[in-house]
Amino acid sequence: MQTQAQQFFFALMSMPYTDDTTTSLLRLTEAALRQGHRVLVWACGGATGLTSATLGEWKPRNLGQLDQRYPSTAQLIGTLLEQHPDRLRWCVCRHCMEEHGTTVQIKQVQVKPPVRFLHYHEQASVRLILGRLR
Amino acid sequence: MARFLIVVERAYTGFVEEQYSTMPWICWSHQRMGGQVHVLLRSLAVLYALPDQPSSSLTIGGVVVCNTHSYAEDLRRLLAEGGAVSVIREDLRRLRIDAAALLPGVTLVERANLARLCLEHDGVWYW
Repeated sequence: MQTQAQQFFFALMSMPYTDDTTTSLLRLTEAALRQGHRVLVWACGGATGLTSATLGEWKPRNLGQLDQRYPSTAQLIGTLLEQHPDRLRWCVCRHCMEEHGTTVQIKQVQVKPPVRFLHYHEQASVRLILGRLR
Repeated sequence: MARFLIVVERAYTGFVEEQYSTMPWICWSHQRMGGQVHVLLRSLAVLYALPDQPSSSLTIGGVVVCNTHSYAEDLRRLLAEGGAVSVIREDLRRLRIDAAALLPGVTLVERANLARLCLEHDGVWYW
């Protein structure tokens, strides 16, 4: 059954590497897009580092498995944004970005002032806040 | 030779952020560099000591993320290099894992003996 497209708001507050929230968020985002919904992701705190341009497309070489290439989070998120330019937005909190020194972002990301958080939250019909702000 | 107890508690973090099993790998590396490493796994990290863990992968936006974690293999290497690996017995029981299912050479530690184990080492690192 075809469901009506909705506006999703996902806020990612947790620090990367400390748990699997980032993985969950990316899976949720892709699933929502696959079902035709619109998604706005708001990255706060350490999560602003996921889209740092300095990460490059690939992770540093795995010393235990030199033939394996492993995509960076910047590549994963950038690819999703390029595939869904009309239905996916990835917004980075400017204050958190400056606080964490992640000021060089990939070009597909939008840097927004903190006050926009509530605006996007109100606009969405489905809202989910993930993780603890760090 | 300084002896270090490395307590690992947090497990399975950062699937898309990390490319390999940082903790077991670096413990093994320390052992190879001449340290005397004793890894103590507690909470969910006791699962690292189970052999034959399946590898998994994920596709995000058509990009394949292969999980190259090899927890058990890194611990096996650590044991082969003369290091030690223990798990907390109570955590194993809580997860309903039979001690016989663990990697050969892994020992059990009662939670009540944790303080004594710390005192037997020159340094305790809590990871």
